Amino acid sequence: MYKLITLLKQIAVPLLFILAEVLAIYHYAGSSAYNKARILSATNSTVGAVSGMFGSVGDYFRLSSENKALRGEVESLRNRLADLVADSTAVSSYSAEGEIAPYYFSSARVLQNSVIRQRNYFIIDKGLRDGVQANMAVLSMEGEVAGYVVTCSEKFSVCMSMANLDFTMGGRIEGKEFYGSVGWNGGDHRTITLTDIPRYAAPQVGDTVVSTVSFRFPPDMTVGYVESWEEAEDQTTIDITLRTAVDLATLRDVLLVQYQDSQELEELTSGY
Amino acid sequence: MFVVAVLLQVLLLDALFIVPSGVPMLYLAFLVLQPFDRNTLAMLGLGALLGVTMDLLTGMDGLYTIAALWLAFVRRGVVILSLGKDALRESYFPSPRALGGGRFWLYVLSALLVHNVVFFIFEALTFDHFHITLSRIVVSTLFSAPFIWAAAKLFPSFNKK
Repeated sequence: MYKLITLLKQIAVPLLFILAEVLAIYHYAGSSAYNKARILSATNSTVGAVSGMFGSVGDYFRLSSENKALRGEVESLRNRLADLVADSTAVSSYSAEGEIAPYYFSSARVLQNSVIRQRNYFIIDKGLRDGVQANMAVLSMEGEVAGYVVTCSEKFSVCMSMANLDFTMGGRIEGKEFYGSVGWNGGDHRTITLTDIPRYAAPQVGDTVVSTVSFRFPPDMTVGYVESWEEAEDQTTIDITLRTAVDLATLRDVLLVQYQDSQELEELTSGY
Repeated sequence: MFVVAVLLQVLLLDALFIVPSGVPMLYLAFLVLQPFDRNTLAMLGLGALLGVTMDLLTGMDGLYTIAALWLAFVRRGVVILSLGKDALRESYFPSPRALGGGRFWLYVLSALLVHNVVFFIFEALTFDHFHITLSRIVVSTLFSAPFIWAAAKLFPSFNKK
């Protein structure tokens, strides 16, 4: 009995460590973006309050550049409006009466963001009650791809950042019809890759890579710019290194894009 | 110390992205700078407290707890390997003044490395692009050490023998 107690005393701490570690690993393995949303929503009132204070100070110093960007946006929208008015006869002839616009845009503010991890997410201040749904595309205010919505609570949504090992989307070099896959390999948050592009695509440094149509992203949204490329292991394709169009570290205001026919497209392509 | 280290980590260091491809881990000062004679059971309790707090504040669902518990459990071994068995009898808080500059850096870098190997491998959950995980381990270890050194300097009560 004495020996048993001695033995238990000796192994009690290692056993406790193993038990605690197993519990932590089990919890981590079962973690999901929903858990992150739930935990972050719960802690957001405390951390968010302090973050908001720092954010407000930052906002003040960013006012000048944001005003400049807004002026540019207004100018661009006015130009587009003028073009649309001029072409209204032509547009109406192509649109079926009562047809819903394919994409619905809304805006949100980034509350919490990270680019220092290998699976980075950001939290935005819009959720289910604002009409946000999983798989909505998230773009910068300039229309550059930043990520997509993973899950939502009532007031907040968790978005997968482009700087996430699990992020993937379709991309192509603008002006060419070679489609590939955009992803991130865990290094610098501004460096992503476009793979599965045929060798004869002959990209040029500085070429723009844009999104292809999918159930998440509208087509032709800027993803990044070609920096370099190298032959892939299969020797028939090239892996292109891109610099992201958006700086994810400074993401503040974002556009959310709902593709109205996303469900239909997802169902159609899910088996392929 | 606990509150200051955690808040500085979450609100400042994680938000500023000051180290490309790495994370300076100031919050680990709370574990690394515990007295050497603190027993493993107490260290596990402190490790769990630190890990769970960081997980709750960052939404990482256990990653910080896994690595903090690991460091808490093996710290005794790290001290023995980096400073020798005699160091375990010392009741002071580790600091450059108490240990001597070279021994302090050796101990801090060893402890950070042991922690970061587990932290970043569990973070990646893949051995694809392992060179990137490896670089994150090395970069984070090197950039965290000066923050631990600063914490040991800035908290005078920790330097008393």
